[in-house]
Amino acid sequence: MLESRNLRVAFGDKEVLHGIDLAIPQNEVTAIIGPSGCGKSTFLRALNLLHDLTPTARVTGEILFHGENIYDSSVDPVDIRRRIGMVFQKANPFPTMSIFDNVAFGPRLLGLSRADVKMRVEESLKRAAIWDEAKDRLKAPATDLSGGQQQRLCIARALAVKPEILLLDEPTSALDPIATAKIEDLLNDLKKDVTIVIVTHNMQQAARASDHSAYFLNGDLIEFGPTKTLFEKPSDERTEAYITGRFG
Amino acid sequence: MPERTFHKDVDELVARVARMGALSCKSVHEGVEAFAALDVEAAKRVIAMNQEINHADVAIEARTLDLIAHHQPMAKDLRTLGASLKIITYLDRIGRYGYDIAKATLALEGKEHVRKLVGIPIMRDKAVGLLDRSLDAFQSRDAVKARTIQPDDDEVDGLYDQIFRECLTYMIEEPRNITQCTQYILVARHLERVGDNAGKIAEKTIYMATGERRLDTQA
Repeated sequence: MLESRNLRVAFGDKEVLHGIDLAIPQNEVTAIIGPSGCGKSTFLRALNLLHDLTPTARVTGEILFHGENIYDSSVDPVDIRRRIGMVFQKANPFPTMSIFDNVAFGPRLLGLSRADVKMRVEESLKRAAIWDEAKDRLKAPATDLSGGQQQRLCIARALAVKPEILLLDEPTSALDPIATAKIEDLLNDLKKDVTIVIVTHNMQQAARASDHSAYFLNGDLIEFGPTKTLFEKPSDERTEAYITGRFG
Repeated sequence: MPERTFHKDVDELVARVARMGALSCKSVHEGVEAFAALDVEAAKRVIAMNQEINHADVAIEARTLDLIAHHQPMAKDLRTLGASLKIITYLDRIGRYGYDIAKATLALEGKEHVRKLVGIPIMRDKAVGLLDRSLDAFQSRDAVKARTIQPDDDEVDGLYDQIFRECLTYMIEEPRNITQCTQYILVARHLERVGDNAGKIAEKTIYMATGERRLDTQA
């Protein structure tokens, strides 16, 4: 469904991804791990066309989404970003909006009726496992929520436009272990309907929460396979060195 | 990158397992010495050794769980800790066989052997030899060495069958031999189990070194 072919990304003269071929398995959680600067976030952002916003960035190769290259000029980036949602490291709710309006923002843009928007907001907050904590204060500013709640709100906001793919860039790195566990449980529930790609620095999180893992190093994909195999018996010694802490 | 404290801790753990293994070896070796000589005092020393082995089992298990809890190891490190946890159980059992063999000496207190023991010391040497080799493979994390253990265990099994049949003949010949021969069969059985456990240690060593899991092929 989503696959990169010989994907290269350069910023100015510096190429940071050197031809990545990776097919993301559908309805699974795929973790991307690797040391700082290995290109994992760059890869994730390329899947969401985010490099379009950086003037010096140059993307070559293909990202096929249902067989169509999302970098073709005929493809509408707004449509792609609706179908491929993104959640960032730091929770970034719209600061001036209420909890409700944060989630309603996307559905309203899509032109849903008031009743449908309301339904969609409730459904999304439930799927993001924050409904119980938010339902009595939907009109409150989103910034009143705790960090972990804000991150789940951002997931709800991403889910509200019914994406097929959800990309998460270190979504729990600023959260405490309980909030982290809630998000990991959530990913496991969501994958029934949404394909998930998560970039994480936390190896134990990748081991716990993902089905497949990809190890990136210096802009190359070193190893990709079932998470269990990658963490118990990696086939590349560079992966072994990284996950056992002998490198990086 | 300098070696991390954690990796030194893992190496130290492996060395501790190997030291426990040496103790288990000694228990079986000296257990059979005591039994062959019907030396009750020597047997009591072997029996006392069991406690030390048991303490090592408990202490190494606690240490391994600490390392897992504190470092959440991965890949080879995880396999090493997993293999260590299994191997100390095998070593504890092997120590227990040494203990049981020493106990057999006490059971024959005041009696004499039916004849000079030949098969049992040979079997002991083979089984302890396998154990030594499996521990060496474990400590040097050497799957190639470990793969040679299990095939050689067949020899120990063969000796057990031989001793068993021999004892049956003695017992049929002369019912007064039954007390001793029963103990010979038990001791040989313990040694056969020592060989099996050496094979188990080799299996876990292969897993530790390569990640390859082997199913028990014995029915």
